[in-house]
Amino acid sequence: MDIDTDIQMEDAIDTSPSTATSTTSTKLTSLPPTLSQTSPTTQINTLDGWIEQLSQCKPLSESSIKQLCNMAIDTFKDEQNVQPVQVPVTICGDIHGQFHDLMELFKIGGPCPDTNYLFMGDYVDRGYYSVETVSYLVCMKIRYPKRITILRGNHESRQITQVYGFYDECFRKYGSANVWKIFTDLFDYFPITALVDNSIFCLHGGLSPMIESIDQVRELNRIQEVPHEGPMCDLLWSDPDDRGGWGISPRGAGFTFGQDISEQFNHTNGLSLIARAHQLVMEGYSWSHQDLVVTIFSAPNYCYRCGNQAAIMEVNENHNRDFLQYDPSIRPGEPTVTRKTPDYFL
Amino acid sequence: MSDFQKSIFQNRLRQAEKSLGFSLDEVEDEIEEDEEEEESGSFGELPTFDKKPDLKPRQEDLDLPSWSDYFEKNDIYRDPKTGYYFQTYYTQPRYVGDKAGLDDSPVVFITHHGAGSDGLSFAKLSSSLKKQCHRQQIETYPGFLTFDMRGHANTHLLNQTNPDNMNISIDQLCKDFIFLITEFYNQNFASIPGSKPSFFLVGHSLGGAVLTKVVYDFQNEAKDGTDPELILAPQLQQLIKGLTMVDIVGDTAIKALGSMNSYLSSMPNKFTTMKKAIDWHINSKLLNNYQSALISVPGLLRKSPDDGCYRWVVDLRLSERYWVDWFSNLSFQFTAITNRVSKLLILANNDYLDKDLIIGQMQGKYQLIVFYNNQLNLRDTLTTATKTIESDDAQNLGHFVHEDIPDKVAASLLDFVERNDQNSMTRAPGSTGTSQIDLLNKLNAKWGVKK
Repeated sequence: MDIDTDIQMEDAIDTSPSTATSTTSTKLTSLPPTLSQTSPTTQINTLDGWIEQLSQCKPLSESSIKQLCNMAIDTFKDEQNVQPVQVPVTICGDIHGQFHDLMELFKIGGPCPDTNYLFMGDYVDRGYYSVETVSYLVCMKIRYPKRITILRGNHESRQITQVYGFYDECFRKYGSANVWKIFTDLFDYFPITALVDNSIFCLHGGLSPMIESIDQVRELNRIQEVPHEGPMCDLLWSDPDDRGGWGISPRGAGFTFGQDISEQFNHTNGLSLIARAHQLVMEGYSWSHQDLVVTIFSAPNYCYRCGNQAAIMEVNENHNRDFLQYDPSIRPGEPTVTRKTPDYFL
Repeated sequence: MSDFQKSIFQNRLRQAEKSLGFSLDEVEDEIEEDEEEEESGSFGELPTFDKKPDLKPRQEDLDLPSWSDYFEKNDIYRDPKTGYYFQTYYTQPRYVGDKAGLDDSPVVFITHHGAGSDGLSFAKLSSSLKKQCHRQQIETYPGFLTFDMRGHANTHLLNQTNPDNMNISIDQLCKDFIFLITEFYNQNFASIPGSKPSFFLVGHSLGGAVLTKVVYDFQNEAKDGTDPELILAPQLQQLIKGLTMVDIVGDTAIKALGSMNSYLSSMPNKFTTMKKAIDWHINSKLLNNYQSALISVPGLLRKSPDDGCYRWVVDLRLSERYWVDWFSNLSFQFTAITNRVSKLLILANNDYLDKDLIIGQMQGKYQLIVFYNNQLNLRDTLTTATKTIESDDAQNLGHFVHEDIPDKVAASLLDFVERNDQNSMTRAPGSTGTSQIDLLNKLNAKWGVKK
């Protein structure tokens, strides 16, 4: 599926189903027979059914996940390393499997597709509903490809998800690692940065000393597991810092970068702002580097115990920015935080 | 710049060059110049001590390794203030390349075991570090110091008549460690002009809590008005470059204390043979690496002259009143330690971080590595790095991470040292050339960053 047919596809979904019929045979060839042989209307109905099911926090079947991710690869592989995005758009940070808080986010920010969204990664791990969260966002992406942008976070990786919960959750909910494999294979296709109206550079982590211009991001081969070092790793791992220049990141991956670096990068690339996620900030958002960098974190009471607010950033047609903060959603029947304590801990 | 950092950096540099968008030729030139300079330099001979008698337990039904299979020295340190004796084990840093001698700033790992364990719990880790250095073509092997803490293993036996033998309060353990590291420095480095070793502290469980408190206290001395006896001397403070806690989380540990008495009561009181004691550690899954159990378990037990059975050297139930203090405030202190000492937390199986640790982790204040049982099926893969290592590690993983999977822990520690040793930042210009810091300096120069 190339970009042109993707645009037609969106037209088909959003406005005119009849236009889409003529393109069905070319753009659905890579889908599994069950879905590729259906009409776009049926496909939309299928997606809407999935979205409806997921909005009740009920996971899709393994075969549906397989179909969904096959469709999604077709969409994502045509997106760019620096995916262009238009205003108005609402920019969001880490979600980490906190599905009910994601639903709260859409209530606060307005429903998709009425509101355009840009998510800056970390959909899975740590929260209890990583499967539902990432399934929902990918469904929305396929259903409304021009209305929602999904970037890759450092947790969208095979390595990290095996440790921080997504692998276990898939295994628990599906009885095998198949769904984990399907999703982590899909993650390789997620774009790594976005550029809002050539003005706001959005990415999960931060800058890389190997990347001076946005064009250098465009040259990266992103379709791979997140590497342990190098520019792609840095973009997903780095943090802004009070100290100037480049520094070693205490995280063990990526770098820290000072205000002088942000000034230089924004000047070189004609940017007004770097928007990023990756760090927990107690108010949900936090300015740094004299408003050259903003951190947005959208998982309230992270891990059900950190007591932080969450926030999203609305950017309107005139590039005015507005932050919407929110607290954890109230949901009955939330699993209590039962953590296995070790037998021996001396 | 130590040769150790230099050789790992050179490997790293070759990889970095491939991915970099600009040339690092100048950096390489500097490396070559530095190597020439260092060839003419020399490192004074390290002081040596007489070998102590072999402390290997009398074997009966299996062939037990000796401490000397893993370490060069087993010196006993005596604290002159208290008259208390400590059993230590030490292997010097060693250069295995073509050039003779060591440089003046070797890396030394200094370890502290947890309650109920012993210094030889780190024996396999010390040999795995050598193995990983060899595999990664690192020519300078780091030094490695471990010891039996107060009331434990041979240290217990050396002080049986001392009324403070089981005074294992957190403050006493910190004072003990401060004595040990000071004595260690005085014996091995103080007399060598210009010697500036980089100490990387590695503490398992309670040992991690002790080391964290030692570092936190000297960083916050003025603010907290800490007991001066708990403050490490300034010239030693600046040698500590890294702190690693192995499988310890403050709040989780305190929760686990509730079941600790019943756990301790459920342990067998005695074993008729040493083999049975080792088998019990493996069968109960307390330890998962038989080769490590062979060296770490014998010190935990002593043979009774009455019935010939092996009984525990230490009864931890006697120390219950100290338990909560061991771990309270631990996570706050760990995350509050500034970047002057780099921090790594290694956990086994569960990402059971408490609130302080999870906020600190999500704000990028320390490095977290979680090793995971499922991951061990992919035998040679490190969990949090896209990196493959050769490994002879166990197939299961528990609380004694460094015993169960010493190869993976060793590789992680070498990576951590490589990233974080900041010695070169304080050295004279021209004496550096090859570290992460130099790569950073190069990158900063490229970006026109003013120093």
